[in-house]
Amino acid sequence: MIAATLDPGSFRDPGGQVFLGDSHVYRTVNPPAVDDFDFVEASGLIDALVADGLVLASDKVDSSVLGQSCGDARYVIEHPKLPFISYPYEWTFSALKAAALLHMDIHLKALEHGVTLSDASAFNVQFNGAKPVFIDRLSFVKYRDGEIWAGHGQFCEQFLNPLLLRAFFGIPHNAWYRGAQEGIPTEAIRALLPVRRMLSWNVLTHIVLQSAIQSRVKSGGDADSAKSHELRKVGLPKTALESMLRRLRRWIATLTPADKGKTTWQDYANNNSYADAEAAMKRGFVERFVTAGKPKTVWDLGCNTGAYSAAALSAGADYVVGFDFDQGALEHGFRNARENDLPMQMVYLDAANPASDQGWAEAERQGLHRRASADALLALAFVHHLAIAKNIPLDRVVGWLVGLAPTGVIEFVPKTDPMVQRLLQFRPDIFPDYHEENFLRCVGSLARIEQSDRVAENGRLLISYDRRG
Amino acid sequence: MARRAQPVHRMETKGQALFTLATAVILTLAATQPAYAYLDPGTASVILQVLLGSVAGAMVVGKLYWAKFKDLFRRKPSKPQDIESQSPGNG
Repeated sequence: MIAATLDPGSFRDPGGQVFLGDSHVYRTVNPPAVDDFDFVEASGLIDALVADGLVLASDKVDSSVLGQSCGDARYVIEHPKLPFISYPYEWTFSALKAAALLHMDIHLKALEHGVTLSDASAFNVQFNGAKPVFIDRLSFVKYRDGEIWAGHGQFCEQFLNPLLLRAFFGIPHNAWYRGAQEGIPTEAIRALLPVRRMLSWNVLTHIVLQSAIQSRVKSGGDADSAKSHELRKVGLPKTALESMLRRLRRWIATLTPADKGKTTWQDYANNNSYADAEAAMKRGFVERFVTAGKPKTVWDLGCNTGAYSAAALSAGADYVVGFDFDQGALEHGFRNARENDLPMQMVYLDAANPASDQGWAEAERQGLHRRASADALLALAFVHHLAIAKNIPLDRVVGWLVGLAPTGVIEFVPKTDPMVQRLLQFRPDIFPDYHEENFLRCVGSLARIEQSDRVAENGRLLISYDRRG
Repeated sequence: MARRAQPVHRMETKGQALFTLATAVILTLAATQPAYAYLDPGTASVILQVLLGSVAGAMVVGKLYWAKFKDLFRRKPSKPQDIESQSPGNG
């Protein structure tokens, strides 16, 4: 028997539960889902999707593997854990778009095999590097001729509307999505739409008409609701469903962010204040640290476009998660990871307000700390963004960083540095504790300082720490 | 604000026209059913899809009739059976 605990987020589907072991994830298939499971397995769809890398490969294992905890599960399937679980509110625009296209592709392929998807939750898609992969085996069910697309409303809220928010209005979806886990309501997008946007068939149908019907039904009450029940029986011909999916897919493929100009950090790698020699020195420090400690997973906080994440990979790390709050920089990194097939995942993070435990019973989605951990941390030119820009006391910033991973590299940027000067330009200096000596004392109280090196004449300092043993 | 409100309002009348269409379809298709006390959140999506499906269906039917209509004015090929007899299979 394997020690595995029930995933607190797994309760919506009576067809099965998710259990988390040390290295593997176990999914039970309960009696209500068995017929569909068998049908889908016999259809050959899953093998085809796994071969194309669209669905995570999994194996059927003996159902006794989970002991008593799996209840009356008929089957148990297992697959290795992904390196890092992320949520749609932590994805970049391109990642959400890639996940939406994956969803469409899988659904279209499924219909060819007489299978459909029972829902359209964006949380059923995860990333391996920049590659989206579908994880929920129980979403696949037998297609019954003429049935409507059950996940359409959810697809709009969890994929389409968040993308439109950025594509139409230049507003990133992350903050709103995190606040409203079911996604962004169609009525909200409708309320924001200027008239010229409505002159498209796609917007007219999926947003304007759907939202109009929704408010009509809401005010119409029972009678209209009953009619919809009847309409469900009228159904949707398969060809109409397929053409709707194809049309939606084509539309989503054309969406791009409506941002004006470049974001603050997008050009940072080219425009920052220090010279190439200093960047090379930092890269060398990171590479030596990774080569010596051989960490498997590395978290790069304030990763920008992921230049040092890539350095960690080239020095032998298996997987890097880069965190930043700059959309443009993250997009750049995502593109790089996708084009070069790097095991590098870009995640949106406001470090002063990291993803928290939330959803039902505050346990459905996990905060950053509880969800995962890294073997090593990189925090280069990062500390001052919390300590100066967000007024977080230096000892707490260091405490939080060192708590994220047992080993790591942290850069200290002194007040005399032009980048810190810029942060202090329009505000009084209320940071008497922000100096190198205090920084070293804070790190030293929590971990051994292994290596240190000056980045530049102006005094930036790189240290590596180890808090084990 | 007033300048913005104006066109939005105009669209709502268009929206209302669509509504009338939607309601007409619903009324034609729906029989009397027991009332449901709570609204299924997917209701709007169901109605929308059935509407779109009927529009698509109507377009297919329309295309067929249009093709037949055009055929009335088209010169007929001398030996229409040739095409069929050349096709392999079914043999």
